Amino acid sequence: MKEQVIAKRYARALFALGQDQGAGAQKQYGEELARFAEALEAAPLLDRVFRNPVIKIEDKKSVISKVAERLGLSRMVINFCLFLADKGRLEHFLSIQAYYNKLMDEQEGVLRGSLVTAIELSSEKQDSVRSGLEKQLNKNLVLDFETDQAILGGLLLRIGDKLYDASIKAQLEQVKENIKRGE
Amino acid sequence: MQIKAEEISQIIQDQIANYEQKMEMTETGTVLSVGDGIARVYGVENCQAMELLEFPGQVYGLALNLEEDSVGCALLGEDTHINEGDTVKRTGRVFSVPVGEAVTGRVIDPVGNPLDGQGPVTLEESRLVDIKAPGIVERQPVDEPMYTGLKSIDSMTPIGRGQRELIIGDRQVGKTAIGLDAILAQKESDVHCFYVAVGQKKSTVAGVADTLRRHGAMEHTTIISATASEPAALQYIAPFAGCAMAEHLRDNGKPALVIYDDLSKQAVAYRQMSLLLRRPPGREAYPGDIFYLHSRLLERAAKFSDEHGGGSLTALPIIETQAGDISAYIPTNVISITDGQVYLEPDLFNAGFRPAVNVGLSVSRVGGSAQTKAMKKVAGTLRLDLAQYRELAAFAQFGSDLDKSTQAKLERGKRMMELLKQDQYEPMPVQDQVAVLFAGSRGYMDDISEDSVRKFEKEYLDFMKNSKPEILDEINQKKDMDQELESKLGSAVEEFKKGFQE
Repeated sequence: MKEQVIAKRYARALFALGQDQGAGAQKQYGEELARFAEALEAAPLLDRVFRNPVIKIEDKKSVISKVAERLGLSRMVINFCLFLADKGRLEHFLSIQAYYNKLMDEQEGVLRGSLVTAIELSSEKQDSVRSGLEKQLNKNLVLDFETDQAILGGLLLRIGDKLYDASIKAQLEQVKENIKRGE
Repeated sequence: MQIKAEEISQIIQDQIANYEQKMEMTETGTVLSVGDGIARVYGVENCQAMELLEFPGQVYGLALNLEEDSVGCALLGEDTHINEGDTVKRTGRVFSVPVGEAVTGRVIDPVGNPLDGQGPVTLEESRLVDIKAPGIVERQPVDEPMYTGLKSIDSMTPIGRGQRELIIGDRQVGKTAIGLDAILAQKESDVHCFYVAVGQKKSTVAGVADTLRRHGAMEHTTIISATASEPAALQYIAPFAGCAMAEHLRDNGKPALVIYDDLSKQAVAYRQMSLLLRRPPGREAYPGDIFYLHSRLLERAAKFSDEHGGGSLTALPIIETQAGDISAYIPTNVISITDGQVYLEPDLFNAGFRPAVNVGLSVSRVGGSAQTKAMKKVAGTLRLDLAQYRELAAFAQFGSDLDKSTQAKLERGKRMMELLKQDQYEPMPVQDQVAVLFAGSRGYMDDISEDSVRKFEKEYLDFMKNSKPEILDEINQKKDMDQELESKLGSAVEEFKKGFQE
């Protein structure tokens, strides 16, 4: 709960800053944050250093500077990370980055979701499903394609909290319910 | 009726053949944690307060806490098979119950599921459970009596249609009995009754249903039962469900009576739920809005003005006290909300004075205007007389010599006390009550020995019904006692007394 509040506040601040800097800046910050997050995930040691309260803030800051140099981050993002270090919020970096992505998606009208089918779809089929859905939703769609034998057939689309269940399994279950209820 | 195997497969085939392929769109969330009948759900972002969420296995949950990143719900069923990570679906339905003809004469749970084995309750009409009480414009003052059929209540703490009268007392002093008698008394009237059982034993509820059925009162009654083994959420919502069903009648211009048995158990269930939802505890660990819980429920009792249909909803909440302590938190709350209380006392109960109404502590703040003139005339001074009697009786225990008028007052008081006794499940029509109280308060029983008062009452009523039914009818129709009627009634009592043998 607290984590969420912190992440939202920092992410929003950086996002608003990017807005003032012009259109490209927001996207650039997003990518750079993602790069930094990748580095964090690739090197668990780095994450441990950030989370360790014994290590001095100064030391953490010099580590950040070096890593950022390697990654070629812009001044603004480096400053942001250093600021996080000053405030002792480095351990929230990943959730800040995640929320930043969410803000980006919202602004650009991008929806993220997953599409589950029983058999793997060919790439043409994937494209046609995506473009069909995009047309219906009037938004850009980023889809993860998954396969799950358990749904038997049809498809199951999950976007955010919404679930479009057109799988054979769900339909069979509904028939079962109807019969049980005697309708 | 027997179904053949082919028929079943035929039905299934039809179902499949006619199955419309519809894409089901639902908003979902995931269970973060579950336990003690409370689940925390992540997701379901557009969830509304009091909305039902569907958990796996057709278990529903009531969304009560909407927080930044999670929803706290109270489960309305078993939580044993629900796991962390399970999918939760929004139903988009805010808690509502079936109302109208479909629930008449039924025993149901607060969700509307039948408990009497008489098939499903049809959902023709339904109504939101937790809605705001009607405003000032629709209402009018209480002016029509709602007889309970009990002499001690109808004469001294009369209840009017649209009133909220609290029935309060320790365990086992006949609180439920008063509610049941009030239901039985509505057999002749057009009042539809709702009995809400909260946190009681299943055997007790079965007993109530059986009693009502035996006395033929089930046709105009609905029982809503959330027994002690039901989840706290169901016990919390049960009075609101009963109220919603009764409100349906009120809004359609009909009178309804609802008995909440009892609200102290509902408060306990609400406390449990609130603590588990981590709402901060207050006095006696009840949550801060416990007063509002009861006040918003009881505010829904109302008498509508004629322009708005003239319907009414009378509420008889019941509160159980611990060792007679009416200054505990919940009793004081409900006493201050209601328009009066009937206080039942264990000492009176054990002394055989039943219904064990303590006349001194029982009041009805609006009921006086809902009493007929006839009743007012015969019972007007009853309360005062009995208070004087009790004072004198305490004094007379010292055995000092008493003057004649004191002696007379004591004797009259003793007989009146005896006269107020009444057997259970025998509510009395108001004209009978008037006739009996007339005989008592006008001194016609002063020369009857105390032990024969009840025999006198019984035979006197038989006599009136058989030989002088026209007098009873007149009382019933005029609703007043003029000089002429009074003298007629007086001479009837005299006539009966000639033939009466103790």
